[in-house]
Parts: sequence; structure tokens; C-alpha cells
Amino acid sequence: MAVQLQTVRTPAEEAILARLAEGGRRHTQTREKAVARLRANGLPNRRVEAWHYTDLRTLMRDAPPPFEAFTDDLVAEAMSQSAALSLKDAAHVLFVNGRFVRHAGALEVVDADTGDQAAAAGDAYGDDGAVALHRAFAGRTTTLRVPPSHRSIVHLDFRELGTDAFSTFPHLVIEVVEGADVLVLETHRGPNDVSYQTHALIEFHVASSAKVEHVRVNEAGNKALSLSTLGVDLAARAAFQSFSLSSGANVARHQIFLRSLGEHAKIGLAGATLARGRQHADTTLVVDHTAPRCESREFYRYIVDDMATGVFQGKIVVAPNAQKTDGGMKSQTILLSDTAAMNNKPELEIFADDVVCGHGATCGSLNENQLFYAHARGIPPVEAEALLLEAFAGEAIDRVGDEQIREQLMDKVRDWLAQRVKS
Amino acid sequence: MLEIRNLHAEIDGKKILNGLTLTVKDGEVAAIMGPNGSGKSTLSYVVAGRSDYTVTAGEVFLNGENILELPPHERAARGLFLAFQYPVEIPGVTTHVFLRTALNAQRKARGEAELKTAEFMKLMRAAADKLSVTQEMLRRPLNVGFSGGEKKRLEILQMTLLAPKFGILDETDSGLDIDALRVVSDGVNDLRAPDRGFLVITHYQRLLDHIKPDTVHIMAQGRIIKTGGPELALELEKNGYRDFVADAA
Ligand SMILES: Nc1ncnc2c1ncn2[C@@H]1O[C@H](COP(=O)(O)OP(=O)(O)O)[C@@H](O)[C@H]1O
Ligand SMILES: [Mg+2]
Repeated sequence: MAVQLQTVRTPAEEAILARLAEGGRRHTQTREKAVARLRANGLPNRRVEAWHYTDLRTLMRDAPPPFEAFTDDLVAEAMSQSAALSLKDAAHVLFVNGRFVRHAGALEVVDADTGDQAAAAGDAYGDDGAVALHRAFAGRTTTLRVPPSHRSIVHLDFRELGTDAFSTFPHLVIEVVEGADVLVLETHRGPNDVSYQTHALIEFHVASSAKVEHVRVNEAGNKALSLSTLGVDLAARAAFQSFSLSSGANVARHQIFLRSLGEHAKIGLAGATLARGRQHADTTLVVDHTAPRCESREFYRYIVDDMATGVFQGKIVVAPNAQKTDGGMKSQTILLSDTAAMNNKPELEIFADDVVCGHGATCGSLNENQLFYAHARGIPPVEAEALLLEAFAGEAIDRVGDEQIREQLMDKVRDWLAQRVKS
Repeated sequence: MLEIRNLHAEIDGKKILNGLTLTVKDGEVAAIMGPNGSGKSTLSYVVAGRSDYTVTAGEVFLNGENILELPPHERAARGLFLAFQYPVEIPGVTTHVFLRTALNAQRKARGEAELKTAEFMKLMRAAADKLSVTQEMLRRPLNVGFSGGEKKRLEILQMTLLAPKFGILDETDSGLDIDALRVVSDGVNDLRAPDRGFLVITHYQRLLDHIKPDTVHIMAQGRIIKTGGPELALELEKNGYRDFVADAA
């Protein structure tokens, strides 16, 4: 037998492996693969390139048990609280501690034991460590079918509740049929001071000429660890826009794996991240152009204060046949303190010759000239900073098409800035 | 009234103002002319309170109060206004939001009630019309993508709304064509009042044909080297700075 040099497992890894050994979960090919990956590699860590800046061996202290204690009281309590954001005329789909609870509105929703779709879809992110962790534990899959004909509005409302640490593994598949047009709001809210963990996987299958606007708001509690993966497949002429506002959680990673499978797909990804204290906030994108004549734009803004850390990784891949790809990526950061940190990693992997692709990243403090100009007009320093920061985040929020949502996102930015002034 | 006494200032260890003394009374329009690099913009920044300059000696009084210890926004609230030589672009902040924020901040600092949106809009519209500033410009981010002339008109619009006790105009004429020069000058002349003084910094006699100064000061190497009436500007236009600077040395 070969001697293997094994790194010492972290308490979280020990807990995960022990729980997997207990069994009791349905066997599927997808799960077996995920479990094998976890056994072999442990949690994603700094030696894995895509996880270099978000090392779960250090950031994930433990692995609390999957939440099981679903009761009517729990649901009633969830429903008595307000969502992170409200949206008129939306089909409301409620998830409590990771589990689909109910939905209202005209939408086809099926909640069932997780089957083996991933293998069938030939997915592009099965190798990712967070996806493996999710698949090892996810038990149910909620499938939404968005009909064609009129514009649908859906609110995926995720609430976490409880006082003891727990983990959740929600899995959603959203089928957007040919020609459909949908606005999907995804919000996350949970309690402060509870070390809960959410491992979410949301997969969009967007058929040709369909249009999706997706807005995600993460207001997880201050001790939470929030890992989120968005997988997107786009057929020809599909349009997919996604915006993410991230201000919650102690450790947050939102990753998007997007593939354009047909010509003329249009992609717009944007986000605003607000981090303070000792928060760690990561956005990781892989935009894979596998068909010709697609367009993608990525626009991300970070405001990082105190001892917080921001991470932006954006990879644009252009396959050999994806000629005439038009890609542009931008990430900009304002650091508000000397101890705040930002890691920027833009990457282009271009295998076609007739493409226009570019990226730019900036990182700095607030502009002194702008501040002085505002001061000279009588605007006090605190207000001047808030004005500039609000504008900075606002330029990302401007990418959101829905006005009702945009206004609420701006309010959230203002609230965040107001707290900064108080402390 | 603005009184500057023996002002010395430096930046990054480089001395720029070297004992500048100047008084501009209420109701007076004083012009400062001087070659490039003589410290005119530095003077305007130091009076407005820009923190990267270090004042090593001297005093600046606004209506009798020494303002050098005050932060810039408090100087503004006490009625000091600087029209920048290079107005700053602020992406993401619309011009009218910026103006409303500034005006209300000053009102608040003076213990006055903030203006309601409707009241403010009315004031702003009236001022904008006079300066040929369109509503479309007011909805755009401040100074972003504006031409040189548009930026200068906006500076005067801000001055009109903020109604300062003392205005410093730093090369407000640069980058203006004849028509814009007239609009801007009319805007300034409208604000001339017995209780309001102006310091107009310029290179050219041209501006002073429109904004007629009471006094003209020539500045070189961080000091006022000669003071006179409007005829001094004409003399300067004819002979250039060389003679004055040589005399002073
Ligand atoms: N940040 C700075 N660091 C060093 N020197 C400066 C700085 N700003 C201005 N100066 C110098 O100060 C002098 C005066 O500049 P300025 O006040 O802009 O003159 P003016 O407005 O009369 O043309 C110039 O020699 C200029 O190069
Ligand atoms: Mg100058």
C-alpha cells in the first residue's frame, strides 16, 4: 500500500466525513461523485486555484448538522417576519431553513427527492468544491417552470431561523422555456449571532429567445457562512442578467458558472458588495462562451471597510469556435480603511481569434478631489463620503432593470452607510 | 470682507505663497492677474481650506473671523465660495442632487430649515434658466462629460444658489467662447451686491471687460507685487508681466 501524505483534517472536514459515513441518503451518481471528491480533497482551500483567496479550511470552522426539525411553528414564525425585499405581483416561493415550504401565484413548482439531473446536463461545475459539498448533502430539488406568453415575476424568499447552528442545502432548478420572460428575485435573510451555514445551488436552464432578469440580495446573519452557486446554461438568443447585492454573512462566496450554448446570447452580470468588520466576501465568475456572437458584460463594485476582505475572480472563456464574442469585465473597489483588503483576479482564456474582450480592475480609496469639491460646497465630510459611496454602489445598481427593486437596493446601501457613520 | 495677511503656504515642502497680503471689501470686485505658476490657484485652495497645503504663517479673515482653523465645509457655510479652475467630475451623483445636498447642508449648518424638494426645484430652475443650463444637464452626473464651458456655467449656477458672502473665481473665463463668457459674466454681475465681495482670478483683460473690477492686483511668486485700478489690467495686457515681475525682483 502506498503511503499517502495526508494533511490533518480540520474539525469541519472531520464532521462532514463522519456525517457522510452515517449514510441514510439516496444513492445517485451525482452524489457518489461528490462524496468521493470530498473524501479525496477535503474542503476547497488555498491550494486549489479557484479557492486560493477563500480558503474554507480556515474560514469554515465547523460543519453544523443539516437542519431537520421542520415544524408548522417554524413556518408560521418565518411567515410572520418580513422578507429582505418586497416585490409586488410576484409569485412568492418560500424556503425556510433551506426547504421549500409553499408558493403562491401562477407558477409550476415541483418539489421532489433530488434525482440525477446533473449527470444528464453534463454540468460544468461538478468539480467545484462547494458544489460537491452541496451535492453530498442536498436531499430535495425544487423545480420551477416559467411559462411563456407573459412576463413572470418570482420571488425566491429564503429565510433562515433558529438559535442553534445548522446547515442548509437548498437546490433549485429553474426551467425558462423558449420565449419566456421572467424576473427572479432571490433574497436571503437570517438571524445574527447564529453560526448557520447555507449551501445553495440554483440552476437556470434558459431556452432560446427567453429572457431572465435575476436579482440576488444576501442579508445573511453576521455569523453565517453563505456559499452560493448559480449555474446558468443559455440557448441561442437568450438574455440573462444577474445582479447581486451582498452585505450579509461573515463569510460569503457567490459563484456563477455561466455557459452560452447558442449564438447571440446576451449576458449581463453585475454586483455591489459591502463588507465591514471582519467579513469576507467573494464573487467568483466563470463565463464560458461556447457559441459564436455572444455578448457578455460584468460590472462589479466593492466597498470594503474595517478589517474586511473582498475577493473578485472573473474568468472569461472563449472557445475556439466562439468567434465574434464581445466580452467586457470591470471590477472596482473602494477601500475605506488601511486594514481592509481586496483580491482581484480577472482572467481571459481566449481560444478564438476574432473576438473583442477586455477587463479592468481598480482599487483605491475615496477620491480626494471629489471629497474636497463636496466639502468646498459645504457638505460635511461624513455626508460627502456617504454621497460618493452611494453613487459608487449606485452605478452598479443602475444595471438592475426593475425600478421597484432598484429603489429598495439603494435604500439598503443608504442603511449600510448610515450604520458606518454611527459606529 | 476678505482679509489675507502675510500668508505663507507650501505643498510637499515647496513654498508657493510667500507673504501674500490682500484685502477685498464688501461690495468690491478685486481681480488678481499673474503668470502661470505664480500661485493663484494655490491661494484659492488655501483660502477654501484644501488640506494638502500647509499654511506656515499668516491669517485669513472672512468678515472678521479667522477661518484658517475651520474645515472647508464650515468655511463654505460661513459664506465662502470657490469656483474651481478645474471643476471636479462626480460620477453617479446627479447635478441636482449634489446642489440640493450642498444647499441643505449649508442651511443646516446655519440653523436654517432645509428646503423641500419642490422649493428647491423652483429655485434651481430659475437660476438654471438664467445661465442657459438645461434641465437635461441637471439630471446628469455632476460635470461628467460636460464641456469646459458647461462646467464653468455650472460653477456659477452653484454660486447663484448658494448665495455666498464672498466668491473666488479661479480662471472662470478659461475655456469659454464669447457667448458663454457673456452668460457667465452676467451671472456674476447679477450677484454683485453691497454686502458681497469677489476675487476674480484671470489671465486676460477680456473677462474684466465684462466683470468690471474695482481693483486689480498683480501676483508673482506667491505675493502681490502691484495693486492699482482697472487701468493696471490694460497696461498688463499691453506690456505683459515681464516688466512688473522684473521691477519687483
Ligand atoms: N501638489 C503640488 N506639488 C508640488 N507643486 C505644486 C503642487 N501644486 C501646485 N504646485 C506648484 O505651485 C506653483 C503654483 O501653482 P498654481 O497655484 O496652480 O499657480 P497658478 O494658478 O498661478 O498657475 C506651480 O509652480 C506649481 O507647479
Ligand atoms: Mg491656476
